[in-house]
Amino acid sequence: MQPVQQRRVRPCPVDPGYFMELFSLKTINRVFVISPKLGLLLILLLCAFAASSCTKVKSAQGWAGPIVNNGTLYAFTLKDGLIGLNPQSGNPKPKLNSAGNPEVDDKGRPVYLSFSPKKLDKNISNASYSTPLFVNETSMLITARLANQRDSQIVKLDPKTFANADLLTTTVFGRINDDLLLVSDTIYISSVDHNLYAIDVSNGTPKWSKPYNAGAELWAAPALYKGRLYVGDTSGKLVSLDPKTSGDVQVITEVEGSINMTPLIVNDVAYFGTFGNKMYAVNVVTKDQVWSKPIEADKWFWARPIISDGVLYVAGMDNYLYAINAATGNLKWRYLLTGPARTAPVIVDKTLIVATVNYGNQKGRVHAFDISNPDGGPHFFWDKNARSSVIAPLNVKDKIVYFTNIDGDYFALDVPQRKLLWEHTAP
Amino acid sequence: MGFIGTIWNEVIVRPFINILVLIYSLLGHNFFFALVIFTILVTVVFLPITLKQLHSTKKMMALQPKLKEIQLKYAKDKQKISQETFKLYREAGVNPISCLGPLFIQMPVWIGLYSAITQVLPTQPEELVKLSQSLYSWLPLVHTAVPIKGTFLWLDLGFSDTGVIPILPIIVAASTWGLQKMTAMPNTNAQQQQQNQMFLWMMPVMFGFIALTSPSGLAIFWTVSNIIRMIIQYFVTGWGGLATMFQKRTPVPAVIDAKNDNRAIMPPPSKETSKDGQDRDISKDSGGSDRIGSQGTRRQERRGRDRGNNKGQGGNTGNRR
Repeated sequence: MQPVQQRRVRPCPVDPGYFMELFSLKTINRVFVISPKLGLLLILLLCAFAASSCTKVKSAQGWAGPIVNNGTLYAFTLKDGLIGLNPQSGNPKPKLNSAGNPEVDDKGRPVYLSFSPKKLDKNISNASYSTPLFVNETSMLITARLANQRDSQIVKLDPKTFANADLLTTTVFGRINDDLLLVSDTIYISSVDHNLYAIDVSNGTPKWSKPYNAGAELWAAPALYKGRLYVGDTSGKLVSLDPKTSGDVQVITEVEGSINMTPLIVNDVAYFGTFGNKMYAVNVVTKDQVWSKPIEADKWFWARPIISDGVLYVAGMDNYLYAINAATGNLKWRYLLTGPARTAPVIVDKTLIVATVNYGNQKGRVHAFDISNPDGGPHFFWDKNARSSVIAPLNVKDKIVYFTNIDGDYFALDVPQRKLLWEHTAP
Repeated sequence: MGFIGTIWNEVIVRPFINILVLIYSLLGHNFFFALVIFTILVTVVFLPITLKQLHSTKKMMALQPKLKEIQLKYAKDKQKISQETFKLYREAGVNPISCLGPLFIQMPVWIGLYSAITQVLPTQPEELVKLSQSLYSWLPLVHTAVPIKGTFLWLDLGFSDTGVIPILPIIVAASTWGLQKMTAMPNTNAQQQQQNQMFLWMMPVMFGFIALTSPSGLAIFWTVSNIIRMIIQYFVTGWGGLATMFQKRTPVPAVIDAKNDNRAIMPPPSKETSKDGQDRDISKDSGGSDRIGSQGTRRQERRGRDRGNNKGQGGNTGNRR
């Protein structure tokens, strides 16, 4: 008598157990028994996918700094793109309709102020390396890395509603790794494609007949000083040029190592550091070195310096904060931070704030120093945990420092009160 | 980073990063040539291990005819086959898994190399922060060399080759195929032989596929290391499976002339010419070198299969066993 064969009930395909069984060793073994070729093929395909995911080109994350304008904190997240937060609370700001009332979606949930460049064009990603730039009451500019990870574009939109978003220009720039510089109706854009562009903000047309080609990558935004543009490149050249025509190019100095920061120019002296681990002071008129010798560090100078009461403060990638006599170049003191610093320090009421990146097991932190006595030694005040590397610029508004970490968390630090006002954790 | 991660980073990845950047700096900031020199250096360092592995493989190849004999002789007694095989290995002083040992030693180094290359060629600026922490502060030239200029011909070595025709992935696949073809060990087991054939095609496809999404720098590293390994392989075991491809291109007139006088024009060394004018492989009978012998066996098997499907056209001359 034939045994009654029970019909096997096929499990629900969405049941996780079904998938577990599907990919179990037993099943793989069965596939091998049925067809060794198919089994090998499956394993090789799995290996190929795993290996390609490990070795594929990494996507851009961005380091756009948060900035407050007209009562809104503008910040970037990889998930949502540009978002608007309440600077007092850190809560997302609701989007307002034309009547000025908060918008709600189909299910009655509030709609928050956000703009994803991805939605404008599928070839654009949400990663930005420039702090949002406000042109006027109705227009702001942001940069966005393209999905190919090699190029960037500039998007303009309404800062209040995030509406009317459009590309400022159809020009595709190489990677833009720093802020845009706005001078009256022109924005100047440094790009890794070796070019410095000048674009009319009103219509997106080029201001120059052709962009200025530096012959090397431009990582940092140019600086404007006494009617001339100053920009450093990765070959170690600092040049000045006419902002109206891009002509009359003058090489101010040529040093060893890449210049990846915007020079700080005060009283005709340009202060800048290099990836050659040196900090220089060069007179932009005479082109002479101001200091007898540059300040040397163990690692790069990437963060832009800041000057106060004749003292130049600069944080290096070697974990030190340096205080240098700006006139003579003599080192006044240096202080060992918890990690390297990539972003420029800011000063709030004689308190210097400097942020660090992760170093070993030490997470990024924000350190505060009392600089009220420029002739004294380092006076460490306090520090706060930033939970991860801080690589985006810090911005100050009303004695509150706004900053973000590489994980996309946002912080508001009340400097006089020495406390974090709020933390906005990335979703 | 855990303890193992720190050790991995400090012992393998970080030294590689610094050496690579130093070479780049010394070679006038050309990353392509730096990568080529670096790959050659690493291969030279591992040359003793590689040679050991290749010699082991060569010995294994030499034993294949005897293994086949054992399998035929004791076809119905699997235990006896195992015993005799083991005995044969012992007498010949060969350990069948000894060729895997060097692979396991080299594996972490190759993975470390991938990691070093991708770190040195950061595609996004934030990755430079990590790179800065990997560079030795005491080593001259490395700091000033960054950011690395990763362009070479049409390639940006930090990004994948996304041209209309992905030339680099094709080159990676071709070089992988060539190496696979050279190293593929002839096997007496038909199923095993089939698997070898499949690997011969699947590995290139897999590496070509990975090269499509990987930085071009990695693809160049794979290509260069494949070519170097092919050169080393040639000097140890010869062309291997690739030789049969070259032999197929033997000019036809040699066969025609051979009808008149077999000694007038010498046919290729591993072949003789049959009366019906078709090539026959006699390397197995001639007791030639291990390499040629193994090629002969494989060619015969293939011919046997081919002719089995086309009976009546010259007979099964190849599969004489």
